[in-house]
Amino acid sequence: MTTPDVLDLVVRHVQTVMALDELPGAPRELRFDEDLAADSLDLVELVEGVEGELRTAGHQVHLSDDALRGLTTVGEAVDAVEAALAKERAT
Amino acid sequence: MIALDATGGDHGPSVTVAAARTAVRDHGLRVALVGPGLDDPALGIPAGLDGLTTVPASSTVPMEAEAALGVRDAPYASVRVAARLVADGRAEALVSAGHTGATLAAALLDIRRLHGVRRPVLAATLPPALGGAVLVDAGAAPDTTPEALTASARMGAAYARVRGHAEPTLGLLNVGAERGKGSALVREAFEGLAAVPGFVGNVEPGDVLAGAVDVVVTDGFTGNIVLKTVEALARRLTSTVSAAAGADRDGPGAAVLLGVGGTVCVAHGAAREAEIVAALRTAAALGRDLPAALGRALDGAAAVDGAAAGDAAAAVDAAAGADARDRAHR
Repeated sequence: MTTPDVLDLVVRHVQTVMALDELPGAPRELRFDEDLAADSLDLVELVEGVEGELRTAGHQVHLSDDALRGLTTVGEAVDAVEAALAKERAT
Repeated sequence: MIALDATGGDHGPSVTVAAARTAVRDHGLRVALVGPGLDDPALGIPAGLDGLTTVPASSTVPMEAEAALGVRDAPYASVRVAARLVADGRAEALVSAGHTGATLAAALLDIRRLHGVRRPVLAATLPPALGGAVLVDAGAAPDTTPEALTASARMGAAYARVRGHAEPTLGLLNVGAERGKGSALVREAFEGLAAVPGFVGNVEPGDVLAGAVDVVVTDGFTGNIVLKTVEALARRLTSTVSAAAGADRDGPGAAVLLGVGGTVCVAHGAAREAEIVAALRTAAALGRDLPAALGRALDGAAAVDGAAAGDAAAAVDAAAGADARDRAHR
């Protein structure tokens, strides 16, 4: 899965969890707390949704609790998922 | 079939097993007890009781756990296994007396939110002697937005209709009846609520306890305080009044989570057998009708809001003014 696909995937799940038709700004730069008012439950739901969709597509991606806690922007979430996919490809 | 989180709550299986047995034997329900170690004979789960089944789960989510991550790290916890029974269509509803945050998280992760819902809300029904209104949000989301309050109101009205109110009336809990009263949140929410069918305007706590409206809309922080105040009041009243106010064993017995794609009932952590039975009966009565009704209410919102907002706001103003004049003359 290419990076743009991951961005689309993460953005779709952000929109679902935050009940937004459109994101309020450049997606990668949006901060979960300050720009989206997302809390820890939102982040968990977002990550689980992304992981679930990837699993359906045949990918085994699971972000650690520490990695999840460290996500502050949509861009960081995209990068974390992309890194996990790259690690999967390498093994 | 109702999926019952067997290990949820302060009393765990010692209460949930008895409640499941009573619900099956006395009320004809079908219950799936979900949890670890349910094959232990000491639990007294009757073998061969038609309508009562057990579903294994490997762990529980402790009440003190950080809800979101705790639930994520426990995919086979009883509340998550029970939630997946609902998601898969094998159960019509989930009942849990466990940690409300964990139940909410399990509902979001495994049953999934309805489209357009920012955060599910809890609907609690006040005792009949204290107004009998549906209070929404009773404590799921302490912080909210005007838009979320409008969605909450629509879901609360849909819930009231499922429970038998043909045309439920809705009020926004406030410090005064007149338009323009209250915090910035409620003042802004009023404008959006004006387009919700049945909205009559602001209501004060006295109106709520008098049963002036069928659905009371507020944020989760305020709603939880209201709920706990009403419950504490009911306990402290004289035995005659408290019996009428709080001992409605045929009542809901639990708060209902609105905004996910399945029926989820959240009982008190300290719930005893009777309250769990009441929750099971409520869950059975709501079944699959509730999420379908909520979905229709939310899907229909967009078509209604834009065109009707202006006319509805004027109607609410007129009603609020008449009501204020009525109060002045009492």
